[in-house]
Amino acid sequence: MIAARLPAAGHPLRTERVAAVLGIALGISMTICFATGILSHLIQEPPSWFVWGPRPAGLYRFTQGLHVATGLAMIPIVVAKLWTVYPMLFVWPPVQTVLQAVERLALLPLIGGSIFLLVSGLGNINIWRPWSVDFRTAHHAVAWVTVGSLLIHMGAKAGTTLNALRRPTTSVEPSDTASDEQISVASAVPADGGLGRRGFLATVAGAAGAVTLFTVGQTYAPLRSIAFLAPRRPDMGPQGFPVNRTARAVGLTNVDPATYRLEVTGRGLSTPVSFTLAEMEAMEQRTATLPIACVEGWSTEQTWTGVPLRALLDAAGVQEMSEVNVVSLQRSRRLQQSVVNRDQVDDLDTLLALRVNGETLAPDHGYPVRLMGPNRPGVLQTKWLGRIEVS
Amino acid sequence: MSDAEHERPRPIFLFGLLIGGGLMVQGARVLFDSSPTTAAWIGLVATIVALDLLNDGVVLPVISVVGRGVARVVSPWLRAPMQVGLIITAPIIAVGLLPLLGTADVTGNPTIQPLNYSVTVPTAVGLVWAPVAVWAVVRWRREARLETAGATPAA
Repeated sequence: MIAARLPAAGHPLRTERVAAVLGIALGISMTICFATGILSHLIQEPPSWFVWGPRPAGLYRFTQGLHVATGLAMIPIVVAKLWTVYPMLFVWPPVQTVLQAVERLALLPLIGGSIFLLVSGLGNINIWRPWSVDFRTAHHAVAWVTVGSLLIHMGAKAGTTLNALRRPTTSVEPSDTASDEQISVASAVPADGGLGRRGFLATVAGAAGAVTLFTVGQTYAPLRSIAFLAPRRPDMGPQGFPVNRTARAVGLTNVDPATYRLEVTGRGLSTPVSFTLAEMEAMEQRTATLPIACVEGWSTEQTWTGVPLRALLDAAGVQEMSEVNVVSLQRSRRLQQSVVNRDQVDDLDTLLALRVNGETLAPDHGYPVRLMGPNRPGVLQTKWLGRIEVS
Repeated sequence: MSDAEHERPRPIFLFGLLIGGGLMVQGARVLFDSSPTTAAWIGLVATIVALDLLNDGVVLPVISVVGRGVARVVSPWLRAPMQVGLIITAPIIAVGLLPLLGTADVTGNPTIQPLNYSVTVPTAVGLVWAPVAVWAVVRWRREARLETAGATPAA
């Protein structure tokens, strides 16, 4: 074994077994967060080998909701784990071998990175980003570093963890003079009126559950009424659901329907083809109930009506295409455009939406026309469309 | 454990080191490829180190002090309920803090942090402490019964 063991700290809950159980919980949680986070990143910036299809329509809603919910639930688990192993910080000498030095050095990015991911994630869902680096870049990069250091830590601690879990759970009251063996099996049962090991672990699980219970309503409708801590309520906002960017923020509060044109340009079109709002309204309309799922973890399902993107491209005379780029009227570059791949274009529920729940789109929801496709992140459901580029 | 064992790394550690090191390099590559300014890069690393120090130097010591305080000051019958209440309340406050502070006000988007969090956050805390209080009363009554029984063993 190359890692230092949890010293006899004199606290009945600071045992290797507690640390092992919390470590396993964290390993599972971080794996879920990492996998769903990388997936979200791939969807938003797809490499050539990655194709994100339109079905099932609510898959991204599930994965991103899981990402945020798991991240929030990890907060008490991370703190409990760090508190449990806190005495290790003061072990002297801090390292005895080179390999142990490597393992302990990996703790800096593991602990700092874990806390950064939780704090920046918590900040992001509240649209609080006091970082000089773009949130997504920082969160993404630090996630790789943190999970990498986690693997090093897990490799170093695998033996300790397994040994701690294999030992019998006898009730041995620890003391400062107790051996490591005694310390690591102690406190299954409380002896001083306080929490024992099981009670402590159950309470940490309860804390994770409470945080989940009071926030997950931002994506899981049945718990909406008790989403006391959620930074979004899916039933609050213009036309009954939230927005990430307002029309005022991008200076598009007064788009004139009389002069509005949606332009189609690019492959196979010698000149741009444009459609007025009236022409689009005169085309065959399609209605679909689709989720709008934000990267910040809130989501809601609404009924959208508009022209299928495929139908509009056909009307424009587009014969061949591999993908299209939909571009907003907004001038600011952030979230100004998004790519719709071939599979998504061919799905008839990928709409150029003109109405939601039977009403004309509110300016904040992208009036006069927004993209609304199945299984896409909210940031790719581009609002205030002005141009479609075929490639 | 012998010194030799202490020096010899397990294969799983080497595996973790290899794969984990590769992932860490990938993280650095993501950061460099995004071409942030040097100041931004340094700022990010400084933030991570600062969070580490804040955790080790402030957060964990405060938790430890509060924990020891509960263990020493609070009566045994109240100790476990108090610990449960505090352990669950802390992350609730942590998650509710930004909404409580109204950090989204500057966005001009009323759909962010739309609730009256000065009511909802205490409500969440209250929902935790209500059953904790009931549990404490049950423990107190049981303790009182045991003391009574101990005082009059013949009865």
